[in-house]
Amino acid sequence: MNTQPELLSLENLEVTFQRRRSDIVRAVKGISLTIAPGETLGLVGESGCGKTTLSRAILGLVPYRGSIRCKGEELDWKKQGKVLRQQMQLIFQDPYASLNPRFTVEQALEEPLKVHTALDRQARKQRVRESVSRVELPLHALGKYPHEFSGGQRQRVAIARALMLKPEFVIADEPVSALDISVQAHILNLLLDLKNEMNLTMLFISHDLSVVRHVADRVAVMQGGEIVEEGNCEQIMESPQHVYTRKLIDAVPRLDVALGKRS
Amino acid sequence: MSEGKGYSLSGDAWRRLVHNRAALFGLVMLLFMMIACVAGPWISPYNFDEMDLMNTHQPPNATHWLGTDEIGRDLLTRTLVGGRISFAVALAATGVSLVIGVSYGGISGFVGGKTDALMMRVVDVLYALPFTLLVILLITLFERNLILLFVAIGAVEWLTMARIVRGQVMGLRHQEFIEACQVLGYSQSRILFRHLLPNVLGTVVIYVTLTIPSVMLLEAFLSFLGLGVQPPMASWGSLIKDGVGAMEDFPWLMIFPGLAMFLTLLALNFLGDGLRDALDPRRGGKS
Amino acid sequence: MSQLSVKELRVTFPLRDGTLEAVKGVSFDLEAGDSLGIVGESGSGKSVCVSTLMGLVPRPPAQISGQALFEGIELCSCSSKTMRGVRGKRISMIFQDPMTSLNPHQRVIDQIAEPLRIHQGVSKKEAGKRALAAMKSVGISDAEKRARAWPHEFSGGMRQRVMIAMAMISEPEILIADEPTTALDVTVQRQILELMSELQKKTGMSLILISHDLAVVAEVCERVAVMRNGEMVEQGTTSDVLRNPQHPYTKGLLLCNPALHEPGTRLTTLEEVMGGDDLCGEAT
Repeated sequence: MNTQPELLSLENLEVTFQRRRSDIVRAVKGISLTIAPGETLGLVGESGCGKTTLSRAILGLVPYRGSIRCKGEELDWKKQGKVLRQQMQLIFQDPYASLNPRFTVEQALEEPLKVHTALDRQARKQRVRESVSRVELPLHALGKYPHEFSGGQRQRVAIARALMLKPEFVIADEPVSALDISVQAHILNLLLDLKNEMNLTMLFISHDLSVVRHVADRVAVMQGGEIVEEGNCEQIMESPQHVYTRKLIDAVPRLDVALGKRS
Repeated sequence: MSEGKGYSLSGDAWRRLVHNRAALFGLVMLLFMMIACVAGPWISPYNFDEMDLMNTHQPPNATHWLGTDEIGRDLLTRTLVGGRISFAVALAATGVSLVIGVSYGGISGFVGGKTDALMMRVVDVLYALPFTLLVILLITLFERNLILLFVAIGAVEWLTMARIVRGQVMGLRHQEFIEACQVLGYSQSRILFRHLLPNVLGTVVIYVTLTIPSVMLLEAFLSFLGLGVQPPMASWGSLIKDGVGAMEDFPWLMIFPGLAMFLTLLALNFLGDGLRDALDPRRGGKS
Repeated sequence: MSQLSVKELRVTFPLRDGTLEAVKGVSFDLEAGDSLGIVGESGSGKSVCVSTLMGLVPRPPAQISGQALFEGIELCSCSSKTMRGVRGKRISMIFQDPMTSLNPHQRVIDQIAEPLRIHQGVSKKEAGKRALAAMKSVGISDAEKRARAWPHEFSGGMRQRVMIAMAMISEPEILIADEPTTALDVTVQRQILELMSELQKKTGMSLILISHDLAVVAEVCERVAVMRNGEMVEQGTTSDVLRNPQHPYTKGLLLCNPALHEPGTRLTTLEEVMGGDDLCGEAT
């Protein structure tokens, strides 16, 4: 993968928020990262470490300093916003909050097509039906509102919406953290399938190391707005170099460890 | 809910509304009052300002169903004509406050920052102006007419609406589904008017049902000051005011206009409650 | 005789159309000094179950039947006066969200001391002293300095420590912890779990820990019970249940853990383990 040119590269990315006059918070402190096409980069860290802010900066939702390049070209949200929005998408953590309660599934999925494509009504409906089937929801789900679904089903709708415009790059921000363990397995399977089918490049943000280990090729560990360690997933899980990574890995409750204590 | 068809929000809302008995009653009642006020005076054999000095202060009887007033005018006809004015003022003023208040508050809350601060200071300043003074000013500057009354009341009522909508929008603006809209590249105005404001509808509808009675009362107050409807024209407000003066001897003069207004406000409240529920897909109505 | 003996506990809520049976005849025993973990996914009835024991489920609307005997007191049918003597004094409870379970307008030390002042009529000075000791015992550093702070000045983990101090100050016989670490980061979770184990060992109290995470429960509890759809599908010692799960649901929960799979491979789903006949949470 190292020989391929990167799809996305961040250089010295810096995000600051001004709370009050002299109270400036540096949420992201000069981060440099690259993601190769088709790669999944896991981003791990605890709450407040800046991982969500970093993702919002990549999507042009918060102002940043430094450079973000996509396929070698500097992102320019002002000029190319419309194009970039189709190429980069986001899957949210909370499927309860990320869907508009007043839109049926069909409306929610059709909306991106209305805004970005010139497809006629018939073609749009067809695309919506296809994508609903793709995320393994029944067709009668189309007329329903988000509140009529379980958490896992809502997350399927949210995934379908994010992939409606066939993006190349998707940020998944804790996509399974709000779900039950048995549902989590379904959604992870779906995400992996879709990633392979559509050849997606992904930034997978999570606090759960076992989930990241499962989906990611490489992992970056973030603490206090900085990347403290980055590298091959297995390697970092097996022999973490940084103290914080070590601490993070040790903190995860593990069944085998718990059983070991008891035997 | 096993149907596979998608509903439009309005169709869906209508279905929920007619399933709600209280709301349906409110709707029918309101329509009845409106039709009566519009069509009644044409059918009535009397004119609203037709005096009959032989038949003053008649209690309700076969010829004058609701009785007559101190100069023998038919109370039924006057109540219906008064209803026209009251409805017109209420609808126009509420309409004005809706259009201005919702867009002003929506934009202010959605854009935020300095724009928001500036827009809200304007509202504060307008709030601080004494309302009666404003109306007197308007009426001395221009000629007294009904349009002016609408404008004056509407100009005051939209302030609260704007504040309410702004508060709601600020709360919703940072919700993830709005962020999702931004990530999907929808335009700002599309996000505001198509995704955000519909979520404020419930609150707006409730506030509208509160605004209409207060507008009707405001109109009565202005008429009382001599700034609103002038005799021989009548509105429910002015009729009730006149009726209160003669209540001890001729109670029907107060009771019937009061009853008309009461029933209308009651119907509005039922309808408002029902509308709020109907407009929110999360509430009941699953058939 | 067990310290707490629950038999055939049933909790039903009336709905607009029909009823919802949240807890369907659950039985378990808790010995003094024991630790029981209750594991289940959302909607399994695990929280309703323990809230019922604490008299926190309002009835009506809820209908409760069955027995819950705690040291000769029938928790399901005792008067609210008796319940007040038990709740917060002999059985304490901590909740998932330490952000909302503290009163933002009361200083931390006063909140910790409050149970003492209410239940035992301890003087203000004495209560303050014991609250300070409790803060130290739950590992709040600089307890003297931070005692007069407000809840918003504490981090999530620190707030959960405050909650624990509050629950521990009346030296309860049973501590019930309802998803105490779900809202916390893993490193903080680790500290809180260790703290609870340590306090349990030190005081000899019993512990009921509710969690959606089998691993969390396995680390802290000697016994574990698995709940699903209001039923207790399996219970036993932690090592028995984890090593040799009897119920297919328990097997499924264990098997869909990503840590047991090769990276990038398909995860085993609950349905695959349980067979198609049994619909799971994902089904419509």
